[in-house]
Parts: sequence; structure tokens; C-alpha cells
Amino acid sequence: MLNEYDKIQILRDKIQKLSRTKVSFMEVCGTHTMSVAKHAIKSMLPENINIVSGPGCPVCVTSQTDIEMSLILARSENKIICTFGDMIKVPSRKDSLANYKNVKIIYSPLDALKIAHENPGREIILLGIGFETTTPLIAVTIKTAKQECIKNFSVLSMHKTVPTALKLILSSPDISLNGLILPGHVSAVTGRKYFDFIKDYHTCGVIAGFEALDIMECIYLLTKSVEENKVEVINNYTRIVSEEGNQLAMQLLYEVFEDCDCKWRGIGEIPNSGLKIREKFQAYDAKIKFDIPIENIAEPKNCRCGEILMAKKTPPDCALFKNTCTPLNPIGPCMVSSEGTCAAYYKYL
Amino acid sequence: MCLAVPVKVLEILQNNKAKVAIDGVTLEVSTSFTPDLQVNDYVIVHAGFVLEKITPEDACEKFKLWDEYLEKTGRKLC
Repeated sequence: MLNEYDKIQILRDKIQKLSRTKVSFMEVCGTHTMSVAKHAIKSMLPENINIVSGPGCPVCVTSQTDIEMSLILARSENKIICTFGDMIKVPSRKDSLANYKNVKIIYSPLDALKIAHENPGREIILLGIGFETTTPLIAVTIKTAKQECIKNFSVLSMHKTVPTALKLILSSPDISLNGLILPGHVSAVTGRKYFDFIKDYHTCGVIAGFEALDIMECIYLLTKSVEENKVEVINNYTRIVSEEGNQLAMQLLYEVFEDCDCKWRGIGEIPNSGLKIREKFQAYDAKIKFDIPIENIAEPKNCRCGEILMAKKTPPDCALFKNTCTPLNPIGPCMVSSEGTCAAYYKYL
Repeated sequence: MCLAVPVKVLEILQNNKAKVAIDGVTLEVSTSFTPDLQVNDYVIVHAGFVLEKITPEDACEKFKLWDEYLEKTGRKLC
């Protein structure tokens, strides 16, 4: 029986044979970005196939204004900020959440409710970041807080949805893409059909898992579609992703959240690309509860994260990369996040 | 950030919760998105929530990779 290594070699040879057209494929998900770099996938591909990174790392696309709002809350009295670990080191005006003792890293959003129970005299604020994989979890956490009448808990929603950003990229005249490596675990929630819209942009998509073999299979399928002139969205992660996804999770998401305009780092405001907490649950909306002063904060000078997220530049094109911007002293979020494109380039390429 | 790991369901608890395990490490997770779970099902978990059920064959494939990694690196989970 063939092992994974043999299968990868067979796929590498098949891709080499099949590839005739010069193409660009984008990995949409940050976890794919890391996996492509870690497994040296690019070194196995013919020159015709270019792999670029997209806007799928939630920390990387969080605007400087949202990061500053998190810091304003962390600095104010009597509050505990709960966050996933990736957000902790993102800098804003030479400060970051890592500098505050009242910031706690959590594994599950439900941990924030436990902290709220244990600290009745303090306000607990959960930083809501992530795409369709994570937002239903936050929705359940808000519903649970309401059911259990937990009053010292709220969420600062910075959630975003994947399709709107992809539509923007696919319709941009500056970017030419032939295929998308679609996010596996977002698709577990949304289902395959959710991504059918990319066919309207004459682009192929393959939903992929995160092992080296998964990604090589995905690139093989994308190459095959392009060479055969087919436009299709294939689910190659059937062990986890279904046609319809987890509809209960999507229902819960939209019971608590609704679409809103949202600012993406480096891209700007995209209509209906974010998620805000519905009025019914607004007692749990930190933006309303604390009346945080919102001011537009400029992104760090010379930082190219925005163009990197839109696949217009690669990290070596940025003057800061490996000079003043390193994992120990990150300037932009693509270097801070463990799934950022700059972090992947720095570590593996 | 959207990482998810396969685990086995050990016990169904009250309030949409279940006890799951991987290699002797147990964890309480939410089953809000998968209300029909049963003991011995294999599932993937993301940030303390079960996202989907998976087949035992797919789960075993993952566990084999994990065992191989632990064996080759000489590491133990607990």
C-alpha cells in the first residue's frame, strides 16, 4: 500500500505532466498558508503554477481601528479581556494586548463565561474574531450568557465573512486568479454550495484539508480543471465537509449576528462583509455597552500587509520584512499571526 | 486559527455538552451544533465546540499519524 509520501510524489509528477498554462492559485485560509510553506509545496510545483496567499487569516485582516478599540478596553478599569492567543501581540501605536495583566488567553469562548462567573464585580469582554468557523461559537456563547442572565459579559465583534472579500478579489482588475484553495473548516460549517458563487467569476475552487497530501490533491484538481477548461467548485475534504454544511451552526450564527459593513486591513471597507450583534442581543455588544471612542488609526508606515493580503505583493516586496519587521518585533499583523503570510515566509521560505 | 482536531465521544452530558478524549486527554466540549451525538462517535472539535461527526476510518487515519509523530519524536502526551 502506498504511503502518504509516495502519493505526494505521484501527484507531483501528475501535476508536472498536466500543467501547460501559466496559472495563479490562491490559498484563502491562513492555516493553508502555513501548511503550504511548512511542507514546501511550492518547491514541488512546476514554474507555471504560482501559489499566492489570500485574506483568510482573521488576525491579519483585523483593522488597526479594531485593534485600538481592544486596547482602549484593556486600558480601562475593572475589565478583563478574553481573546484567542493570536491577537495578543498585534501592535498598535507601540502598544499591544500583551502588555496588560487583565488580558486572558482562552481556548474556548465558553471559558469567558466561566471567567465572568468567577469575577462578578468585573466586566468581561470577549474579542470576537474569526470567520464562519468561529462566529457560530461566539453566537452560542452570547445566547448562553443571555439564558444564564450573565450581565458582566459582552463581545467586541470584529467578525467577518469570507465570500464578500473573495468577490472583491475576484473582480479586481489588478489580480488574476485561476483557482482558489478553499478553506476546509469554514466549509465544514457553510457547506460546499456556499462557494458556488466563485463560478460566476470564471474561477475554479477546491475545498481542501490541511495535510500536505490534501493540498497536493487540491492543486492537482485545480490544474486539471484549468487545463480541461472547466469551471467548478469541488469538495475534496468530504471526510469533514458536506454539501449543505452544518445548518444548525449557520442558523445560530444569523440568530445572533447580522451582516454589516466592515473595514478590512489594507483592503478598506467592504459592504456587508462583517457581522454585528443583532438588537435583540445588544446588551452583549461591547461597542454599545461601553461607548468606545472610534477613531480611524492609520496602518503602520511602509507596512505592505494590505497588499500582501490581496495577493498584490509578497513579503519580500516589503521593505520592512526581515529588517525591522520580524516575529520578535512584528510591525504588521501578517508577521504577528502564526498563520500570517509574512510569518510563514520568515519561518519556512 | 480555524484548526480542528479529531476526538472520540466518551460521555454525553447535560446542557449540550459531551466529554471527549484523545490519547488519554479528556475535555468537556459543547455539542450545540451536533445534537444527535452518541457515545463512541468520532468528531472534530474547534475551540471547545464539536463541528462535525467523522467516520471512524477517517479518525483512525489521523490517530495513526499522531501516534507515528509521538513515536518518532519520543514524546508523550501525558
